[in-house]
Amino acid sequence: MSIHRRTRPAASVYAEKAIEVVIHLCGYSAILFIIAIFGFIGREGIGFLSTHIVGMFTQTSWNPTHDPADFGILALLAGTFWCVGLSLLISVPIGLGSAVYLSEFAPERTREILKIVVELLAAIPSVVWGFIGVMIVNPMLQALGAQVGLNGLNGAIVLALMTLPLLVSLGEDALRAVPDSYRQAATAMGATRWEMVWRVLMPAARRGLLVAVLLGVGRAVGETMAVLMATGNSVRIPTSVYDPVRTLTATIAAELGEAVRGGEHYQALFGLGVILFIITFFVNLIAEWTLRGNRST
Amino acid sequence: MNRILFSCILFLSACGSSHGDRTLLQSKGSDTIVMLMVRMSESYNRERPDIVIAVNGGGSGTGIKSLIDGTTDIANASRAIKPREQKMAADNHVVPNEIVIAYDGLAVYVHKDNPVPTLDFDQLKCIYSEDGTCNHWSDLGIKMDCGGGTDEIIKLGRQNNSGTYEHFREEVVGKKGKFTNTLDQSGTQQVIDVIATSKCAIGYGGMGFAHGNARYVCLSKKPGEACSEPTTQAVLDKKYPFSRPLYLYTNGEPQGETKKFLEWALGEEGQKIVLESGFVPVHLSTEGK
Repeated sequence: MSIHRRTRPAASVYAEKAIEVVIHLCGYSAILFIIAIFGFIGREGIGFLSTHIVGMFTQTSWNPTHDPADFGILALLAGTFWCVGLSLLISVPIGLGSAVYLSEFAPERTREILKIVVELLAAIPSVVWGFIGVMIVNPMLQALGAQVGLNGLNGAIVLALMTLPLLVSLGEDALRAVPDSYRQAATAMGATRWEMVWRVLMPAARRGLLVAVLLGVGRAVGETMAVLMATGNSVRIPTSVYDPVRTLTATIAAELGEAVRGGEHYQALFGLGVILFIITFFVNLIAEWTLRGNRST
Repeated sequence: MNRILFSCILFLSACGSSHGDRTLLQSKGSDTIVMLMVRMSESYNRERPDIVIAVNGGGSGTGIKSLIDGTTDIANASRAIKPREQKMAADNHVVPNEIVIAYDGLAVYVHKDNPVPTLDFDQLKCIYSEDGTCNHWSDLGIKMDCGGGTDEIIKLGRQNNSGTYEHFREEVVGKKGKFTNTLDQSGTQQVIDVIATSKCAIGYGGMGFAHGNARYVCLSKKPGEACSEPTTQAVLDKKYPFSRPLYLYTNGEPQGETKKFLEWALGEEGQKIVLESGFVPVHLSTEGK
């Protein structure tokens, strides 16, 4: 082995070393990027957060351009979680139901076609979803009795449609990862197909299904354009599904363009960015932990 | 995107037609005024090919900040400079000089089926202020059904960084006042679009957007006063209670080419462009006094 190395030309050895370093860098680049992004958002936002954090988490009114300004984010947080929560109520039953159908009931050919369609659904840009919220869901909700069709429920429906592909794909993967011996054992015990799915497969795949839901939550929390267009943008704590709300992301998107660079309002929006980053970071972290638990069992 | 495109076009046309030295003037600020300034700079460039005026938007606050930083010659603002900005300017040895370039009327819009005949500022305050108590049209003595037996007022507003928002806030709920739960839209057109589909909605925005299912309301300043509809003539005659000046700010008295341009903008040709852009000229409005 060592004799071989000595006989190789030096240039070739160095080239290999260089390529090794480059590949290492590529591997670490994701970490570098995440640190750089957090550094960038943090540099603009942490200073603001450190001086205003109490006001932010105790007030509901968000009036960053007033003098004196209000930077309460409780209503914005409520808006974000309201939309995400409602969207889960819609997307989890449909998404997991669809995953069960695809993995357990659908004939091979139907499954292939449906998977392609579901993946196409994931490829629709979020601004198009926003447009659907404004043009289609909006009049539908008004016909159902909503005063304004642009509201929390509209945002939730759009978010549910956007997170469905993720739920279906990951949910189906999780169910198919359950070994066939489980299915055979259940059938041998005389279980119906439904009992097999509900009592055996779902509990066996629960961690994978939970990961699918959590990643869906992460996606929904960070979604911006569609909720900006569909939710009606009203800073308030919602009390009814037809109440218009405003999310953290929509606030940043709507206001950053005209906030004076380096000013208090600008820093406040970056502060919102930091909070958003922390929320999605933790949701993804929990998903990752859940997944690890899955591997070890 | 548009603003970048416009400044690019300006630069290109200037490069094509100019020979010798060119003078570049920067004009930056309010998005309300950006189209007006672009038109003015195009016309002015035709007369004076050696002068190029680069117009950028970004909002009134951005324009004034740029004037304070010394990165623009003219700051466009759809509101007057704030005391806080005055102080920042003084700290940077900048003396903001205010010029009114045009007037802009604000209109209050409702659905065409809404029977409300007139509104005064007290009623608007009752609807829009945080401490207001008018949450239903019946609170204003208006009988209507918005579907489902409710007559709750849907209060539409604008994003908090728009000059229109600031102007409406100062006039209606007061400088220190806060809005109640408004649905914040990013443009007057969006306000109109929501009103067109929601019977019980009310909103505000620039003049001349009424169409289809949205109509403007005849406004009076105080209860009992004769109301006025938002027309160019009414703003010219100072009858309409809801108009605002649009400002250009320079650092100190304008000098040299900036001065020449501003004289042109306030002159007959500049003010003609003001009228063509849907605003009310300052000239005629002072003559009308």
